Amino acid sequence: MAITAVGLGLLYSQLFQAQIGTFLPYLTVGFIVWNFINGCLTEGTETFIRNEGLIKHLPAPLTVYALRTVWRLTLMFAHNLLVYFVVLAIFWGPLSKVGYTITKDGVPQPGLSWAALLAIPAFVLLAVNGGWVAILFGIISTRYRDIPQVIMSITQLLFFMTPIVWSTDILAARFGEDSAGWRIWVAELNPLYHYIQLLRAPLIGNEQSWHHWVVVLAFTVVGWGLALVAMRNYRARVSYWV
Amino acid sequence: MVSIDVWNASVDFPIFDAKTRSLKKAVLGKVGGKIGTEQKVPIIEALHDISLNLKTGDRVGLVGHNGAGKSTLLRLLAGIYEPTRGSSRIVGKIAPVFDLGVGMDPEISGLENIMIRGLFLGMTRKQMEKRVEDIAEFTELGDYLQMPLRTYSTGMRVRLALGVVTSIDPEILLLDEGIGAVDAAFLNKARSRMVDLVKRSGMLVFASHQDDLLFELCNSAIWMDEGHVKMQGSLREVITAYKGRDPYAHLDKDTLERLGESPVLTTKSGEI
Repeated sequence: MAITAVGLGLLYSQLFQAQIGTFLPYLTVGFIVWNFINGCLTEGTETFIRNEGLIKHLPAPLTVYALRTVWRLTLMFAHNLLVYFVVLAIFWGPLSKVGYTITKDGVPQPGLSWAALLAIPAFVLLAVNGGWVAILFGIISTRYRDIPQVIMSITQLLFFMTPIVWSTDILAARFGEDSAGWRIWVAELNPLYHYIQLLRAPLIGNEQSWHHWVVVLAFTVVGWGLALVAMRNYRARVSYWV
Repeated sequence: MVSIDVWNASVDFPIFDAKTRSLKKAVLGKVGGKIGTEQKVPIIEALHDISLNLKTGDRVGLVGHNGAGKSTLLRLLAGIYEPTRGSSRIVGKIAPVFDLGVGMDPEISGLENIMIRGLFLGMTRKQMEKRVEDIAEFTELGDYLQMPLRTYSTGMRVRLALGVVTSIDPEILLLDEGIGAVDAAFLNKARSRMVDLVKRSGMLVFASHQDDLLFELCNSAIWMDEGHVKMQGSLREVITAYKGRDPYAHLDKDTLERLGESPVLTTKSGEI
């Protein structure tokens, strides 16, 4: 985790002509958050398939298995957070400066402040989303076993489409503030961008737009709605399908 | 009070193959037109039209050939399978013991596994803490309990699992066959613990092929055959009908003495 982040941080900061002091933390935190989201998507699909033995032997509610998955990922996230604190200690100077930029001529960021505490509700929201993802995707992939592979390749694509190793600043810088036009929608239409930004921005003192919260909250409500519908209709069938 | 009621319940298993498990095939298959003759997923009727009423104090033995639906019935009674037709109502906390090893983690120590297994069986952490010593003594594993489970032999695992399983206070106890892969001396010790366990439990349903265990633990029986309840009644009647002979004639003296039953009754065989 730390090695990947440092390696890619060095490479991409050169490619994008970014200051290492601000770009490396940006990338590291992006990676940590992405790891959690990716885990929810890929392990979520296998929630019930992997617990086949338990499902067939214990009359426990299905949510138990989904919660187990999310909890395990949360613990892994907490472990990865150590890397974040190390990075924070090293790059405290550039990150806490008001008006720092991630890439050259990028948008000035407000720098680290007490707003970092927003990361706590942000993570809670992410974990809540992990719950419905595990339930909904878990039920679907228990019935259709080719879903995990599909999700896997989609997340791989999404990793490159989402501003993790690159930043939206680069789009603006390359095409000019106004003519970025449709290109900016590559990020805006990608739901994962909002999820990442929700947690990453407070952690590295970036400016956070309220529209990320709106988008993620909307996804949370819709997602849980779908998950509950799936639970009501197919809860009893899962033990037959595994 | 505990009870299990099942009304006209059936359990049908869909048998998926690679084709029917795939969403891609399900979606794209619509485009190309039907090639195969039978598009529907084949179904196995594991249980058919089961009606049961079990209440506190019932000790039911399940007998029947392999594949007759004994295990499926136990899972239906546990609430793992909801009936595809008909309905069921379960009142009480279920302790299903179908597989001794389920929920055991090979990487953690025996003591931790005792805790985990107990929690899976519906006990609380406090209740298990009180029992740990008793279980440790019963298993005779001593210092091995500190070692990770993967270092255990099969027999040792069974001892550990049996120790936990027989220490719980179940409201409804569902036992599947396969409890008996331990050495003889230990089996006698386990047997008395099993009897105690069953006495503590509010209700027992026990699937087994071992007559002596059935007679020791149960007072009535259900004969399953091809997913139907073929016969339901007193243990002796059902076993006699199932085996085609009076089972008491084949039990050894020790067992009979323990059961407090007289050996073969010639008068009885006439009645049945």
